[in-house]
Amino acid sequence: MNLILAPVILPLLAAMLAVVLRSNLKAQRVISGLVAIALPILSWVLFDTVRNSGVQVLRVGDWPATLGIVFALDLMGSLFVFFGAITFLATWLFLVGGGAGEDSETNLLHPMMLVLVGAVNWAFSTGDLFNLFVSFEILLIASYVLLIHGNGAGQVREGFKFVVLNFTAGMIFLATAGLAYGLFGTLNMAELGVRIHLANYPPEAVVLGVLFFCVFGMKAAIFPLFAWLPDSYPKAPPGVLAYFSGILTKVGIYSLYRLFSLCFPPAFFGEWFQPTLLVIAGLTMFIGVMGAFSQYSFRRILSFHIISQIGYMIFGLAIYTPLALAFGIFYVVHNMLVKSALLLVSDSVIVNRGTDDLKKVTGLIHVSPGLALIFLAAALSLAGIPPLSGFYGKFGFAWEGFNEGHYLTVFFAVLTGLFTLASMVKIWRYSFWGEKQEGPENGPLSRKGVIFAAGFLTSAALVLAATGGWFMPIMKQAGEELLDRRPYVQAVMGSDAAALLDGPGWQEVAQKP
Amino acid sequence: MNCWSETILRNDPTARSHLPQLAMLPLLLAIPFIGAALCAALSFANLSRRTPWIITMVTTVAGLAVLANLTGVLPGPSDVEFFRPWVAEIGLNFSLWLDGPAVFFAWLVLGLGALIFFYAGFYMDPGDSPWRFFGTMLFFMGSMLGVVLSKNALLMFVFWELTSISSFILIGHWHEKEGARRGAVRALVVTAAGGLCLLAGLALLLFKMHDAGIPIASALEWDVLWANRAMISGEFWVMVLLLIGAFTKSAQFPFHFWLPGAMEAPTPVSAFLHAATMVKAGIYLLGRIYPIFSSEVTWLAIVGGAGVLTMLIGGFMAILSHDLKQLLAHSTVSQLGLLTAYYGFGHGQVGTDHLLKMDLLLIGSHAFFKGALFMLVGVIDHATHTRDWTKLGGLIKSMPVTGVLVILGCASMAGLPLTFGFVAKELFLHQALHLETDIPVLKYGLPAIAIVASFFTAAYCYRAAISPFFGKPRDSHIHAHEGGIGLLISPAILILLCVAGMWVPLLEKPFSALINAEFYDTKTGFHLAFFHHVDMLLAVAALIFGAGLVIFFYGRKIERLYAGAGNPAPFRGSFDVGFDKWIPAFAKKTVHIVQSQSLAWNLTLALGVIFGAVIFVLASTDVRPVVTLLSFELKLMMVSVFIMSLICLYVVLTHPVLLYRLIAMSPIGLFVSLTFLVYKAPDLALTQLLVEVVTLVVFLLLLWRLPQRTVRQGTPLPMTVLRGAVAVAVGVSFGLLSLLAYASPWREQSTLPGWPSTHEYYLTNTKYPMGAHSADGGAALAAAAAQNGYPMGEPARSGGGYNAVNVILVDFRGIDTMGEILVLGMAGMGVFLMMTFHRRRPSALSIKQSRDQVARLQGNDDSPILTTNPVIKHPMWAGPSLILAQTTRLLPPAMFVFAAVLYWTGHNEPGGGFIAGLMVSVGIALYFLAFSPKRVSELHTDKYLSLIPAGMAIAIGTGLVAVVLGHPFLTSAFKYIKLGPLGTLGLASPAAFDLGVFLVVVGMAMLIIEKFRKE
Repeated sequence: MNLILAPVILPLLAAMLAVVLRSNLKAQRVISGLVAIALPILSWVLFDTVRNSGVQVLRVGDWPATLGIVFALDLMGSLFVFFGAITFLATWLFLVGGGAGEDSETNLLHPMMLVLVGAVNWAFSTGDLFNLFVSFEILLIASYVLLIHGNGAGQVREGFKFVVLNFTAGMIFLATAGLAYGLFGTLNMAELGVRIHLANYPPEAVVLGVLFFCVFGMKAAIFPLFAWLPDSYPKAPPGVLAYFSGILTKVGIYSLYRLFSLCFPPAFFGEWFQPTLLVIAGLTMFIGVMGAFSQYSFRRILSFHIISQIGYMIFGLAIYTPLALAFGIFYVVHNMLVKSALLLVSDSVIVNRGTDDLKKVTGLIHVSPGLALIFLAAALSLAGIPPLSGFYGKFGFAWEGFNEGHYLTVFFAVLTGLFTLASMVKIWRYSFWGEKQEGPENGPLSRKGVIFAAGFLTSAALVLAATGGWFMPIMKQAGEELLDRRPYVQAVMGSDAAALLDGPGWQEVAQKP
Repeated sequence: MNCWSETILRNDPTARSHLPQLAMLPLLLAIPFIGAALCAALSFANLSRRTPWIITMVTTVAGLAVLANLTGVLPGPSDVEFFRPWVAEIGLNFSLWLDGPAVFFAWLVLGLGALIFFYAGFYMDPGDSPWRFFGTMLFFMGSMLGVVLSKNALLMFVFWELTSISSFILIGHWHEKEGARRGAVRALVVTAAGGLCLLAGLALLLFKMHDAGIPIASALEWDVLWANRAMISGEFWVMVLLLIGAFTKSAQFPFHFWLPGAMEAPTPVSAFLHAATMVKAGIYLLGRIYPIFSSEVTWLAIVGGAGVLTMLIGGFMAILSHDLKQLLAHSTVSQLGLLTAYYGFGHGQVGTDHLLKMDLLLIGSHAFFKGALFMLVGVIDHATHTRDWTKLGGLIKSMPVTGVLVILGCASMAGLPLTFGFVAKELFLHQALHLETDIPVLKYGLPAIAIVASFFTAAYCYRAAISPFFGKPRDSHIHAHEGGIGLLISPAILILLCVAGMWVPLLEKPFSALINAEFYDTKTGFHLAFFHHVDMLLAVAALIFGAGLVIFFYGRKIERLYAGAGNPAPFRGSFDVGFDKWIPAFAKKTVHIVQSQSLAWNLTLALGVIFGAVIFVLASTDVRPVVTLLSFELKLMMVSVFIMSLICLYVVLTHPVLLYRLIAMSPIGLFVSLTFLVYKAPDLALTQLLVEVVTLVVFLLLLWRLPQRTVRQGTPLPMTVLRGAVAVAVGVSFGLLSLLAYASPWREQSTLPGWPSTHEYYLTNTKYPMGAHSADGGAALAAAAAQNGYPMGEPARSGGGYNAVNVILVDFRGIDTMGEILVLGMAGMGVFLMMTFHRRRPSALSIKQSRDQVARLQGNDDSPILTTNPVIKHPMWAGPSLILAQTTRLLPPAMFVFAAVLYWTGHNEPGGGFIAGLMVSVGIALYFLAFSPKRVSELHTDKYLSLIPAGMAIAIGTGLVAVVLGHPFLTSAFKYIKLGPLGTLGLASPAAFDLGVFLVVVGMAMLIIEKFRKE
């Protein structure tokens, strides 16, 4: 039985059940927990299947490939689904462990999270552009509802910006998908790639590519389209934010990696494309980290860091070699774990202290040494300190960047690494070090949920680092498959269609006598 | 050498049988980390405060035992290696070895570690976070061992960074002090910046090696690098990047300023990390890359230059220091400069019998006396509670042992005869005076600076040895007493090693054994002796001691002169200001441009960028939209729509009342609906129309609560123009793109021979193109399929309905619809939740949050679009309209019936679950608009909420039935049931799916309407 839709359907069904049982918190927790535990197992099985027998395809409704909707899971997608599931498990641990504080799980929080998870998996596995749009819409609406969950004064205001900017991106996405269909007569990503190839990469495809880049770039929060992120994220409820920052922008990155390998190989855009991408990557890293460095709030620093890390992932796309994409995938996966771990710690600070202002919260190491250790490990990993998981990506980008001659962007990547460390150290210096704050309201942060959840994610990142040697060849293979395109196209459309990618376009065929 | 250190090379096929020996090397590395982990884990148990110290001592001794096992007690290099690929893609291997320098440093780290940890047990207050302290110390020791044992340069880097981190934690051990925090951050940022350069350097090195055809997997092994040094020795940038890494770590000019600040750490930390071992990591790296790059004259210039300048600055600053620990810190900087310069001076000496091979001796000498002196200053601090030599004096009476030890240590530091330091100094001077270069600036300039710097060295040694111990006590409040035996043993042992110059000949053999024979001619070695004959070296040494004495006597005068000159610490000062002020300020400004608080600006920026790019790309191609393809009717329609849009736009832009502006917008939706109709999609037209109605109703309800008029914000004209331009750009772009798509030559091309285009396929598979009815389309379909050879599987299958739009929605692209109704449902729930929050008592957390928010809001927020005028009720809302009320009695029931028909016939005729749902919702909405709220109040909102999951579950469930029956998700089935005279009833599984759609739409509409009603 083909299970690739299971990570999508399972959370959605569970969410519906949880809505029905909304008055019973315990039942909601159990339902959500069952999904949280089942998903990593399920997605590991899927990953293993993909690793052993190639891209898995499901033709929904049993309609012929490319004419109905196709779901296809390749190595990159299955890795993302797996690590996304790990992140969700940690979020669940945090929520039910009381990490988010009392009263935080009411009001459909669990169902909304489940829908979000389903939509994320949906985006990671669909092979159809409009279907991808649908999953983005679910993502957007679920994340918006979660964002305004609670009663914070800024939530509605910042949530409004969040939803308007994202909705704008969604509108452009929709229009662009329509344009893709209008121009090339298909919404299937694999077929679109083949048909753009057959049409010999016309300028119209370039415009299409630019539009898609902007849309997914906005979702991924690249420079200068990230405005929706840094103000709204810190308003998200505790726990939820960790999942947001670990996963949501990565969906944009996933889509960029997918489409810009399958349909819009950068080579045909012309000379300007790669330099532009490199500049965007460099600026995204640098502006993001500058934003972080100038902040004095735990969660705002981390929110800005999301942006700067997206820059590295764009860098991977810009270099566009199998190894660079492999490092990009590694970086995404690492980021999911580490970023979420850090935000869980920050969530715990704001829940317990009511503020995450670095100057108001000091000396946490006295009251929560364990959490401090977890934070330190995750923060150093984020900063790319070896042998933690962030190191591989950073070294890999530097190396592959040198290989391809992108010295300036490597310089920015290295500089960004320094400021990343500096801003992490800033958090440590102000909030973890310093005089112990007295008083009953300044007790330990370490509710069990926080330690379990953040510790779980951090140790997952450590395991990822230690097994880097095992994962790296797989990710390299994923990168190769992305660039090759044929494995994906073949799985979706058959080997005849995959062979077209090596052949001439329509024009050449027509010109032959 | 003993039995454990037999040759075990990784290439040796028999090596596998020697597993115990093979495991010894990683075990050696693992031991400190195990100890550290133990400290971390046990810190949560309620154990004695002495336990961590005991663990540390046991761990260190165990490490020493293993090391002795591997190298023998009189250390010599071992052939034991450990190799295991880690991440081969980036050349990272877990490969350890024990060549000469590795053995030397391993002994240094573990041996000094044992002595200093022993000392620390007596020095540290047992209540002072002992678990964290000793755990981190062990962690550091492990990292340092890793640095020196790594055979792989990248693996060394891994541990290198860990030493920076542990140093950071240890400097900040007393983190309640601002100085400690600041010093720790400064140290970390500087060393991490260097670490990043090192990382970039290694990446570049890997690239160059790869370029030269060396396999990546082994490219970064030290021996491979050395073997291929001819290929990379000319890589200037690799060298510079690696050197920056080394210089930051070893506090070389211009990165020297972090080290004195690091002295905020407890004394054992200063002694171990910042004198004896960690700061030597940079020196160690210099030694490792020396064979590769030293043949370049740039090596001499950079390494030698940085070294002597560091010597000078460090020595000078040491003269100015009052704090004995600061004095030692600056002296460490200066001595590290000496070691660096020593490597620099080794330029052009690879393969000769020059003295550089005695580098380890210099390093050892410095480690011994500096480690000891730090510990002794700690003893003085303990005894007198001050380290300021201007307050101390005459301590030799009360602290004779300490005094003698300090004096001897300083003698070694100064390089007086009969000490270890003397031999080291002589080696250094010999090198300095025999540079292998013809460039005069370097040949004479570097030694000159080195000798001048040595004057200061001598002077601060006198200072440290004489000022605290002789003369009269300068501060009468100080009551000194001798330190305990526990504090004095460790320094005493080290001092003994230093002063026993007679040792030196004995040392020759082991040190010679540690030399890497590949780079040195070992046949005619330099013979170590504690005293050579009288020659020029001795004369220079005498000059140094004399000049040092002069500086010592005029020290206070120099101090006063310097104090008049201004900034006492220019490097440190500018770093602090830069990092705390300039960069954050710069960052804030930069980010503010992109990250403004104003939504309007953000939107303008995003759209401007996106469509600027689109227009740029369009303009730079030769693709031009083809308007001539459009039919006359279409052109006519476009023109009329354009004119009407302009009129609407005028109203929207100028009318002050929100309601009218809103209504003026609604024709746009009607145009869209009309377009759908023109293109023969009545379903879509109907849906669009209904959506328009529902949206308008919701907006009207919203307006009820909003002020009716808006006051124009004072948007500056350029901004208005920019926004207008962006809006036009968006419209024009999509207009052009639609025209392009309209004229697309590729849409109808088939991908593979025989593949239908998508819309052709959809129309064929809904039995017939729309409008043509047939009782039995199956045969026709099969015929069409057979004719075209469509790949639709056997037997040919159809969507089972005539209405292509509906079949697409619920079957071909059913999962899209599933997603969209989920969006709808979620939106409904979202509104429900928002309204719930709005009324709910705020939680404790949100009160805390809102306190901050309010403060921020009051400060600056330029985003509100609507002013907060008191609500002005429009006359329209005076009360329910009588006509409307009367109509509504009849209309909704009719609408409900109509909805049922729409739903049922949807598969074949225009209609379907979505439209039916909207119809029902509009009906209910009408009720609500027409009647006072009482009439509908029996309806309970929360019940509608469950309609959404129910609908979703039905939709998903329909798909799952197929899975249970062994088909892919959402596979449809349909069947005709003959009902006798009533005709034929088509039962299709999509109808069940459509029911789900219907329920979700109704549920969501009801939720929202009901919520608004309650408000």
